[in-house]
Amino acid sequence: MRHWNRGKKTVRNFLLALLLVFLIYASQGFPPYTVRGMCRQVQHDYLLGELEPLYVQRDWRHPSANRYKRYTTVAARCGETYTIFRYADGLLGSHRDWSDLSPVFGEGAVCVARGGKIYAAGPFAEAATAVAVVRAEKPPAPNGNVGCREFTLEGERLVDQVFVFPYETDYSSFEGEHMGEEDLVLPAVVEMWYRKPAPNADPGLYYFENKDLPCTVTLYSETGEALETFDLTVTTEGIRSWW
Amino acid sequence: MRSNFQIWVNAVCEQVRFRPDHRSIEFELRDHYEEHVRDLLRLGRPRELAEERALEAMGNAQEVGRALNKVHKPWLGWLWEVSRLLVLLLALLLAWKVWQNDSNTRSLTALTWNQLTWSVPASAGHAATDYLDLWLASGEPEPYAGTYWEDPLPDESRLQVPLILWVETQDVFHDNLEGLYQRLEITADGQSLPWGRYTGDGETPLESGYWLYGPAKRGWTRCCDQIVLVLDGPPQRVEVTHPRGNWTLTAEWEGMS
Repeated sequence: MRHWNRGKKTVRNFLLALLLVFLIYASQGFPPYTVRGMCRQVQHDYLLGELEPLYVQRDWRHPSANRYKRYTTVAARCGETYTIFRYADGLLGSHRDWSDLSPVFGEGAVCVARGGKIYAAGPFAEAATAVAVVRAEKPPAPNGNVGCREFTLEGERLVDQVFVFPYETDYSSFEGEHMGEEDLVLPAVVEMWYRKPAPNADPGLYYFENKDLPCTVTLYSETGEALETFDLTVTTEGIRSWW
Repeated sequence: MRSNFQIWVNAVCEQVRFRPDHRSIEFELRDHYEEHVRDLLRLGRPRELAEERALEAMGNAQEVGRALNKVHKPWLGWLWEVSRLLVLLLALLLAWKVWQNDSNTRSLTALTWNQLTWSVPASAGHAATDYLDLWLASGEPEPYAGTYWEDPLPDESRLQVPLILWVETQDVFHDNLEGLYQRLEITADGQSLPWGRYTGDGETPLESGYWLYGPAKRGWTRCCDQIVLVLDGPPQRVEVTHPRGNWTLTAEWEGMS
């Protein structure tokens, strides 16, 4: 080794660097770097056929106070199965984001709520506009009455087969039950109606139920004629999420 | 005041374009020079004469410098420096990932060991898809020992019946194939068993008739997992399928009733 010249040592170092790169990549579980790789991983993990990406969104979010992360959200389809999933991107590859967004599947269509938007993917190419109606139910009152509220959200087309339905998330003025329920935005209603007292804990401690809320997506033609309606669901966790 | 040798060695280094090597060149030339001086001193020459003769023997500074410049090529020198830095950074990165042991970092040794020591008995039932090969075999029923695999409770009447599942994929595992495991459909003697979800406070359901994940040994593309059925009595035949998989695996227990 001592008698190796500089050229040989350089070659040896680059080979060693290649081995280290492989070990680092292997230690991360051979993560994907491309959308195609992410789709391949999901289709293998969930025993699907080949996934066709329909829509890709990349954005920076801050899941913790001191750290921004880039996320890749993908809507894809395999035949009649639609899926939406999200990956957290990093220098060492992208890793599946473990949230109720990742992944969700639906036959015929699928939708998911995340960070102030409901994403819906399905056979929407013919539609000019779309409207989503999310229904939240109040816990039964002592007299047995069940209240509910429906939130109607206007859709914005992202691509042929994907609509997004933004909803208001700013409820900084939310003051619990002192505010009129009819004024509350969707996440505030979810926070208020789907929280339960924590069992065996001091009064005032709550946990939030992760429940499916009905979300009806209706497609309209350019003339305003209703084309098709899809009965889908979003989760309370997704509605409450802020990233 | 600079010595004659220092003037000479500076003249040599001026000819060498790859500056990071100047120090090592000076060190090596000085070593030769001082060794020669010592030899001449041992032969009884005065120091001044020994230094003068030794310096003469080192040769013409310009010629030596040009010869060294041919050997110390700048592009190769920089490439060498870059390769050293790269190896150092990558080694530090790997060490940091291993030390950090985050959820994305896998144990390379355990995965490799499990991959190499994986074997399937010939008696196991087999099914295959484009991406997966699966084998299933029956294990020995035991009294149910609870979520944490401790000793069974004194009044425990349920059984835990292990199914050993071997899976081999065409690609490395991603996230433990959770899409496969969470969607398995299991029937024991015709009765469909749900997955025994935890109730949130660390307890599993008190009744029987569900299945749980057991201990797993994961390799790179091969894994050996256990599925534990919690039943009131020993089964005779268990079938495992997946809604998206066109396969059925069966495990049978002889002499069970």
